[in-house]
Amino acid sequence: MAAVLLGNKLHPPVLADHLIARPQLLKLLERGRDAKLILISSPAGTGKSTVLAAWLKQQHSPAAWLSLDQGDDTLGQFLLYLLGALQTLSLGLGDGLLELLRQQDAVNVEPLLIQLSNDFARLDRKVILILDDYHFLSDPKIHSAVEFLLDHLPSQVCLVIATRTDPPLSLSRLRVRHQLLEIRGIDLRFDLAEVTHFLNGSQRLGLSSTAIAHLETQTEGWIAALQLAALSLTERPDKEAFVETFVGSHRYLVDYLVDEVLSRQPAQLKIFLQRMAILERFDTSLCGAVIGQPTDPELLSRLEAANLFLIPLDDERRWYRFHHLFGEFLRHRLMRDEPDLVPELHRRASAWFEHLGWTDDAIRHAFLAGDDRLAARLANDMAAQLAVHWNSEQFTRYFHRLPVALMLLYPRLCLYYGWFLVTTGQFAAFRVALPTLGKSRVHAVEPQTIDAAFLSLQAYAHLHQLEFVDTVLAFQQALDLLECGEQCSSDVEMKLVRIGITTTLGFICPYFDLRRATVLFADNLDQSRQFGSFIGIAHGTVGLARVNHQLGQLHEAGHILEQGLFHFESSRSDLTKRYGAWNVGDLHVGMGRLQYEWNQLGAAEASVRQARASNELYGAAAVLGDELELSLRLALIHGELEAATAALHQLDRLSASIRHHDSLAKQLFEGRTMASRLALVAHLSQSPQTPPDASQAPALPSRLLAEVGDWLRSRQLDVVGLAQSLGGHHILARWLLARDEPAEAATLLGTLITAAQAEDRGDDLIQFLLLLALAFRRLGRQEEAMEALGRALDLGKAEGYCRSFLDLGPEMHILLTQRAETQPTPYLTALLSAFPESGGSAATSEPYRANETTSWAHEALNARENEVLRLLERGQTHKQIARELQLSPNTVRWYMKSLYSKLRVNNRTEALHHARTLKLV
Amino acid sequence: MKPLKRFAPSHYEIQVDGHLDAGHSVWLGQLTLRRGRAVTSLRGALADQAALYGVLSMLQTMGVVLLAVSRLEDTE
Repeated sequence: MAAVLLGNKLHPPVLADHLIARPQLLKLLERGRDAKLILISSPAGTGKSTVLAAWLKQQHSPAAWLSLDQGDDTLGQFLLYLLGALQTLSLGLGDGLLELLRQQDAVNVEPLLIQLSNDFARLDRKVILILDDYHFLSDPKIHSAVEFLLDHLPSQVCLVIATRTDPPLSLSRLRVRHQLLEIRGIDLRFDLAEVTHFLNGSQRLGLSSTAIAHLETQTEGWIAALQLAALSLTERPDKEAFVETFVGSHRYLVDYLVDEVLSRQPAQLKIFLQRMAILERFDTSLCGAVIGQPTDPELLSRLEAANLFLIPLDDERRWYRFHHLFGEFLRHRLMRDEPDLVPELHRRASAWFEHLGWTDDAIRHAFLAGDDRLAARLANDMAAQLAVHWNSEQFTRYFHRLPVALMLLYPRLCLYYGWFLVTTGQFAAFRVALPTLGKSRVHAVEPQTIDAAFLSLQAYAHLHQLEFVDTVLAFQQALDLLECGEQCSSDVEMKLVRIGITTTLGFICPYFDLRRATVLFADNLDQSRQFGSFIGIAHGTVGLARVNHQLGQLHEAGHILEQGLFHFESSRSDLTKRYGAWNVGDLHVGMGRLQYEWNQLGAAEASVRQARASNELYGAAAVLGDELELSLRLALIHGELEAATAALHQLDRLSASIRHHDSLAKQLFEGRTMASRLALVAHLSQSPQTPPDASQAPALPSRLLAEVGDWLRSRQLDVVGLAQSLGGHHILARWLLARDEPAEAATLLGTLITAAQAEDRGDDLIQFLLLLALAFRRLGRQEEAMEALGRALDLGKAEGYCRSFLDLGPEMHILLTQRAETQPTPYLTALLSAFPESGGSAATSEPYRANETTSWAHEALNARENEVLRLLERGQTHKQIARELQLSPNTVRWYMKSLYSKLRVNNRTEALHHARTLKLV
Repeated sequence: MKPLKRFAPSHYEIQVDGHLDAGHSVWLGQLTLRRGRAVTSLRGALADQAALYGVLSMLQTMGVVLLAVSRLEDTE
């Protein structure tokens, strides 16, 4: 994605002095202000941009202008410029979204567009947004985004689209609703009076009315043709005769006229114009570079004054472009006259752009030069940059055009190509390309780093196909190689590779070796901090916390997450503050799961809300999945069956949307939906009251159980490959109990417990022991049940385990009561009082705290929100708060909104009241 | 005076290969779809050249194979 936005694309064309005033058109446009969309659809050279620029000049409403070109024909690039254009208004529209887009691919843009439309809705006045040259866009994804934006556009915005061809938007719908103002060719056409005014007035040609009528007919009032005609006629003695000749000619009018105009220029100037036509836009310096000799600084403005179809792109008249139509004809002429020179011109342009660091333009011209070798070198230079702001759209664009053989010179490029193939699920292509790509090692300064990187790519490919043993093997080989070369290297790539490996290995290691995962994540976190990798820190934190949770070290997990959240919240970047960082939702949801286990339900709900809010724009599936699973459980505790089934439904849809080539994620998601089904079944079997629709009620649990059964059968679980079942055995054990097959469950759980113990899976161990206690109880083996329960209590006590007991319902309550009769402990008492059977409820029971823990309620508000709250307490208005905190009033309003939603209140009074009860102020 | 070509509405027939889904008619404006054995023809009035090109580029985006575009004698 473009690192720098070209300012001159965000500027309406500068109007020429001799412009013909067109009051009717301006009036028409003025009427369109209340429409949702003004569509100006007419061929090139009919004066679309000019009339728009003239209209804007007399407008009081702020207007954002975006001149589109071919380079904008990917969704990411388009949105980047769209937001860039809106930022020129300084109205706080889409603040932060631009940075956000730079961080990630534009995959799920709807939340972003909604955010934008909310920003629009907050405006207290009308704004105009102009998309000029819309016909350059062809990507259906862009059209859907524009359509979506149109659907959600508040009345504060008037969108203007100027295009040569009707855009594929639902125009008929807008037409029917009178939300569309169309200005078409017929409206833009110059009538006889205007033609006369133009030719004899501003151009002072002194033509007869017959000649003018001829020209009007011949050009159909097409202003570009009239301008060309005027140029050809200037200083010509035989004006009338000349008009006669081309009236009778059957040659294409513009062709004819351009030839005329060019033939009247000095040869050198003609060559200059033709050669410049390879550029989309140019200034004196770029012209000089392409021509190969310094260009007179005054030349461009002289050409503009001579009406040679140069359009200034900024007020300083530094950057220009040709009128599109004229430019196209010039390019055509260039191809005819100097075809052999064209690649060289593009190469020079490429070098100029490269020198200034505008790599994207440099690569574009390299491709246009047909110089794939140059493009490969440039792409190689850019690859690291692209990888930091991972942009697969751009990768796709490059890699589709670069021959693999050319990439071999550039190991890094080969590496990114392999990465691109793996992450886009093209495993077959990857396996084919790998032997070739690997050869690039000979060009590497540190071949072993490249080898290691390719090994880890192979590992990724194995991982995606759930070949765990091969995955770990390949990763291990890669790490060994890296360790060999570590002392002598400070290579950035090597560090990145290392972070990548440890992250992924850490991610899958919990399925093999939990202790090792801890080491890997700790190492990874360390490296990421050194390297300053934002995403690395988030991954490391989440991973380390998750592993600790699995080890049954809940407090340690909480501590790690707290630190991580503090890191992101105290980050100086405004973006982080507003949206949270990439993956910060992961941290919140991890915290939520801990709070849930500790039965701190209010805090868990707050964490879910925060996770949802910070994930809103990213739409990360993993966070969404965890968040939904947690919401479902929370809903069940509150007896909100409808909300729980809705969450399950969403979870199912999410699971179905996971791409098939990502098998690991797919299985983990399916596991979530199955675990959630079992939670729902458990709830239904425990709740004594009859559900409203008694006839359907019994069907639901058995249907859910049947679905889980089908899934389990499809998984073909193997007790030997315990760790690799990705939680499948857990589901199997609960499913057996739900079907009242305690004997089978007990046998399975016995094996599971041995394995969990051997692998330090503390969390699993507690769960399995509790399930085993239930199984033994049902089998009437009371003593064994008590023994299992006792072990679970011993393990759970120090870490404050609670919900794992409560969620097992009345049966667990009975077991715990029996235990309390013989061996009462404060932990046991706290657990029992939390059961609804003891009159304890989610709202009233105090969670048991093994040792001092932080008050999680405060965690719900971030530092900024606390400040805002404090100032609200002092009775300040939001404008005063804005001044005090040096924020814009809109931002303060945003914080207030988020504050209200976190406190679950609707206004300031309620917020303060609630905050006082919670002792937040 | 010659009739206007560039800016005037006209009737067109566009023939494309295969069967075009009627669901696209929202995009294709006022054109009526007629299905032949292996050819779908789209007929109707289009406002001007910009509208015609708009339809053609939509068809291109949809990957439709274009067989013929012809201007019909104006019925009015």
